[in-house]
Amino acid sequence: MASSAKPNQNDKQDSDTFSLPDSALNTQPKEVADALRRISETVEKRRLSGDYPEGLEDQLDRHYRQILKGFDVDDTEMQSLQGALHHLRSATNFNASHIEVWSPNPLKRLIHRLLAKLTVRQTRGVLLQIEQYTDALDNLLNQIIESTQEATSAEQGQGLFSNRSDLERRLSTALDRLSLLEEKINNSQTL
Amino acid sequence: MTEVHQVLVGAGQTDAITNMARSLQSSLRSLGPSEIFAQHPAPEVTDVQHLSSFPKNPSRGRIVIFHASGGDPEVFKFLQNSSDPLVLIFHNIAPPELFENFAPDRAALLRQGWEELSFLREKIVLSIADSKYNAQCLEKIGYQNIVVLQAGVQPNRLHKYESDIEMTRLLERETVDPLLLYVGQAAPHKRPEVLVQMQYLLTHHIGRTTSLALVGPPTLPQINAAALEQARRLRVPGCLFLGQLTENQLATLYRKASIFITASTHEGLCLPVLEAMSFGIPVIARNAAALPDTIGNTGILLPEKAGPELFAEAVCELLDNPRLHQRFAKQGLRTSAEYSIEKTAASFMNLIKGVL
Repeated sequence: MASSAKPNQNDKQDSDTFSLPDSALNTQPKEVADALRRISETVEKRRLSGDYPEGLEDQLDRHYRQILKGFDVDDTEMQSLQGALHHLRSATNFNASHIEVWSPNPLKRLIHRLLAKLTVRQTRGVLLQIEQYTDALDNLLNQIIESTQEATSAEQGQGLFSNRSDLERRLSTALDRLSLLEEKINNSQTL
Repeated sequence: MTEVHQVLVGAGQTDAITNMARSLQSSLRSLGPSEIFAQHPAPEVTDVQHLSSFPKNPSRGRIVIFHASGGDPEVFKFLQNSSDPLVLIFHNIAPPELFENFAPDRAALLRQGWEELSFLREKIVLSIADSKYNAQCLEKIGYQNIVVLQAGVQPNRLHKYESDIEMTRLLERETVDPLLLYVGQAAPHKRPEVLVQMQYLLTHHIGRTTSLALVGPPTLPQINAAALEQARRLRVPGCLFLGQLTENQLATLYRKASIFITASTHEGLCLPVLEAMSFGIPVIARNAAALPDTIGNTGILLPEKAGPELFAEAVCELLDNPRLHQRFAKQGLRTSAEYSIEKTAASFMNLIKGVL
């Protein structure tokens, strides 16, 4: 099964140092540039003093991604299949106008356009035949995916997840209240 | 009289691009009939027609304005076959690779959106981008003579809405001041989890008492669901995931918030930032995509890959430095006023008249 929510190298947070390029600081008003320096220095201080343990940001990021993996119901393969079908459809939108005739060279551009006009009947004929074939192929693939989806849904009881955003919202309110209660309990214990 | 119609891929009641199209519609109606069409209008939207009802044979001259924000084969086919002059308003398309691991079908549509834009290039008679960054993106795929204009952008559109009583009560009950606010979709490039982790550091490591409200449609619900679950497991207090809200509810939040905060790595313009500025709320964001242009000197721009530690410290800096907070607030009000619909509408109408 294709794994989802893989950590992306580009997502890696800048947990080592906070260094704005000098050019960025120079274009900011002094007050803002000073604030940015203070922010950077305070983070550094907290790291040195141990307030922020080494690798804290990476740890938090890994924690989130682990949770995210759990939220991907086993429909990744189905999504991937549908993605492939979408991609196929986008690639089968045949039209003579998709054939690039533009060129930075004006003479070449003229020749390309002239050739396109001269062979327009033949091009359309070929495209029509390909379109008929791909329509049939598209129908077939669609039927296969629908049947597979029905079978998978029945197996996993996905009806439970049909209104996920609503579930998320209800959960958010409930969990937030829980957090506040926990905080109140913690505070009362400290007192 | 000329008909000038607008075409969108999707339309929603509170969707930013649909709202921009609505703003433009009132100006365009001074030229003649002007309707909004979309391939995927939300059921509750009554002022947008389905693209299939687009009038086939115009009785007079006609211009089609296409708001590009994603791919769709039906919309593309419609635009390809249209013989009307085509005006592009580019709102940017999220980079497909950011969705690849989460929603391959959506990634395919986004990729398709970029491809369609390349193919449409020859048909477009006027290209408008709503930020410099978006103009640069269009240039990369061969577009030329792009006009940068925030057509239809109304940062102060929420000011006319009264506060929602229920939302006011919820905030009084569930939050403590200061309130940090994020408004945006639940999508991988918006990185809501960084804000949850920031709230964790603020409350558990720095000892601050803050609240964090996250607002926006659940484009990919698992993104927010996982961030919410992390908040629960880390016992982070004061994290409210509010989902999509009405204008009144959103206006209530903007009136209550002390700081607008986003960890997004990709924005074509970022309308919520402009809305926050119009309410005099300072912004903290990453120095990524269009955000530096949109924010200018109205907030703190952190490095592109800033993590929760820097975000948390930036919040502390703004809360402890009222002079800086006030400076950003004032500058935000000034900057957002520059985006006034009256100014942009006049420029936009001049451009459209040039096409006629």
